[in-house]
Amino acid sequence: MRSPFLPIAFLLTALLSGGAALAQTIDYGELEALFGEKVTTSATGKPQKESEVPIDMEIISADDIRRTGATDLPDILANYAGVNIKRSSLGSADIGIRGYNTGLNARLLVLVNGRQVYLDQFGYTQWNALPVQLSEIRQIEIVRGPNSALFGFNAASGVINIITYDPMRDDVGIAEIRGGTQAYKEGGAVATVRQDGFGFRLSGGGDSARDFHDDARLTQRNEFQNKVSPDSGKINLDMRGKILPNVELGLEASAVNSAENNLVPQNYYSAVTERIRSIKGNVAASTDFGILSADIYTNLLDERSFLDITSGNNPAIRLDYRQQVTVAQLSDLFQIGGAHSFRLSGEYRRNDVNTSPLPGGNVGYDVFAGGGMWDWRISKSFSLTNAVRADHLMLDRSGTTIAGLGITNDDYNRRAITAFTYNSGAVYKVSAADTVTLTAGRGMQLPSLLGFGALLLPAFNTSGAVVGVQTGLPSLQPVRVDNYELAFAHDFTELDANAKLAAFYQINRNMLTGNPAGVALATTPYVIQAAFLNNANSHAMGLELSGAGKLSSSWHWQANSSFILLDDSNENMGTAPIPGRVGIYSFDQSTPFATVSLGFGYAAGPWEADLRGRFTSGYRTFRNTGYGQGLQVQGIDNHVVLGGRVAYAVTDALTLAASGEQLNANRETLNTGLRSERRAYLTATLRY
Amino acid sequence: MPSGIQMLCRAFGFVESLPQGELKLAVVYDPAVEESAKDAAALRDAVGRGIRSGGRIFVPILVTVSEFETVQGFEVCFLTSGLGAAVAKVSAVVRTQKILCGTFDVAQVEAGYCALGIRTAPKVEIMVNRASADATGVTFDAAFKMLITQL
Repeated sequence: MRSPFLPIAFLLTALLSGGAALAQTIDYGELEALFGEKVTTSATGKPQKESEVPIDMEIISADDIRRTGATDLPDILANYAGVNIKRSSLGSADIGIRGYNTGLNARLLVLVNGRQVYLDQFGYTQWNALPVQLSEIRQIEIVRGPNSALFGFNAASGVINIITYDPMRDDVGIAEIRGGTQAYKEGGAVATVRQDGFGFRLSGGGDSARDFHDDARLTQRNEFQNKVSPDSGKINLDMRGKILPNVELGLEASAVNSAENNLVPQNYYSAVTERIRSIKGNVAASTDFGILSADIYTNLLDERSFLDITSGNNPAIRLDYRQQVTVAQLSDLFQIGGAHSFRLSGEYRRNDVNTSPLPGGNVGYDVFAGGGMWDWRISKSFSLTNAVRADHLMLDRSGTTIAGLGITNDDYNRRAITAFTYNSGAVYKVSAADTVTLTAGRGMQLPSLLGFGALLLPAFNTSGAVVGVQTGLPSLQPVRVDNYELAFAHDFTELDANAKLAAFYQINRNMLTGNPAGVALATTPYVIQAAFLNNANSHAMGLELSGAGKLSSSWHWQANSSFILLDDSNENMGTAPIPGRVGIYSFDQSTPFATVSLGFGYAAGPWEADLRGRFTSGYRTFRNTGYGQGLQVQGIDNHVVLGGRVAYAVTDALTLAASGEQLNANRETLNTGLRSERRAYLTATLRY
Repeated sequence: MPSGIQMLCRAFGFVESLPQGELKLAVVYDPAVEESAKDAAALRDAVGRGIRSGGRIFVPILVTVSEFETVQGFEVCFLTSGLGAAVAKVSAVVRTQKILCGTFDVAQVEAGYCALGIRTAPKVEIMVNRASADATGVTFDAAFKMLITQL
């Protein structure tokens, strides 16, 4: 394994050796105050105003987050166009962008300040285990469509980049306690301190609750064995300061322990406990050669999960994974003339994990990547941006293999994947109020480490003897996502409102699915099956309409609607076990056609009140009554959920709030699995 | 909603070449031109004793075009509207004395008389004339430069 520290050392040498005394990283707060709109670097790596990005992006502000009253990120994200939520339990939900949302959704890359919190072993995001308090988030950036040319693998259907307050530039002091239904208890605090030119932001918090009950469905195994009570404890330290007039140093460290009940893609439950640690270093400098930036981070995950699968005398199978990803990134962002901005980047990534539940093996990969971006401001009203990236992945495996598998470590060590991705966008300002954006992009979704072979899942007969093994395959291909989009945005200045209409067409090739038809790799000494296969292509087309505005100084509104049609090329994907043409991976059946969200907010004096509603059209999925126990088609009806918050500022420092989710129904079937319950909370917030 | 001059001073906050602390902001006007005089008076009333932007406080001082040619010690100047042909004279002083020039009249930026212009409606748009900026020794924050229009 090559040391990721070597390129950092080179860069540091270059940075410290000279350069004009210019600024380093961007001051989100000051730039937002100046331009009157959000600023982001998540579109191209270059600082840009939200209204000018050559990609489909929406930015959620800290005010928006606070006024939802939501206790977790999925309930916040679900209110935005193109975003679909499938909640599995109180502590777990999957977020999809533009369809294809399954348990442990692998298509959405989630980052905190550019550091991935996406977990590569299963390929998903455990929202309950993110090391951030909602009150320390400056903005959440939602990218709809692939953005692999900037972020690499897994920025396939979209990206969520969570930007926290800058410890060097922002003052935050908030403590919060909350209690509610489901025995919910939560407490957390954020504070910033400045010392000798350095800023520190420390946050921490914890929560616990009982999960949804579903007594009526006990017989259908939705009250599963080994169910855990959802909880989390998290702490994060973020430090930033100037070490030279033109050089900033940043360090972040976080630790999270959490537990929750997830639905896996096969729609049975997995009771999970995680312990995640991360550390990140960043050096950024303004030099004569542009803004140079070097990042290095490592995420270490220890995860234990009990799969709710019955098999002979083994009612639950335990998976234990230790997975570590280390990423080193270098970039240079510079301008030539006033009209051309360029960004050159390089990245090295090391990722590995042990095999489980059968131990003894280790699966990993190295990725070397290089990319470039060119943003050409052709005129004051027209700009063109092109970004490309190449990722070269080299798979490896060490340790023991299982008898009869027919796949050796050499098969892994010879396996390499080279992926080319791009993003192109043309932004035309037709007038001061009208903008047309045309974009095209290619993203790549990498098979998870389990998909590549970290999963060695035995099946037992009633005597406890192994009769089969599910495993991963080194030959799996990444899913390729091509997305084309035309968007039109208009500012209704006289109405203090804005609106956007986007139409897209998406092609997904080599979709990764399970192996429900049970294709066997070998039958002796027992049946060996691939756990995942590249099984089909799928096309999607959709329309998204969104708008927001103010009705008066006190009232504001927000509305959006999304419509999507999918067409899977392989109608037999996962249909074999269930009659009725609804299979595990029938994406065109299991994606809701329409979602509509509407929200109103009122603020006057010490009062704030917000109400939001979300309609989701019905879809068909399947109920897994236990592995090997049979699958049943399950229809999810059209449904509406209401959420809201009322808050009263008792003093400048103290605010009391009542909030809730799914206020209109005590219990509702929003997804297969546990029925979702009404949630209500009381919150006290102290600002200091 | 901050006023135009507050936003202009906020933009001045991204000028790397300006020193920190209290800076004299010359509000250059022509008393014979009603539009210009009105601009200057409005700005004086709006700003009062100064505008803070980051580590700088911009203290406005009203000066006529003719005074501007003789008085020294300004780090920043603001061009009021309607200066007409007098702008060329002001620009010459700006270049000689290496003063950062800002205006709401973006035509003066396009013409190269002033380094930085700001338009506040319907959206905030900032324009920088690179030749004027170079001539007056003005340098900007690298991230800021990527968010503005450079001419």
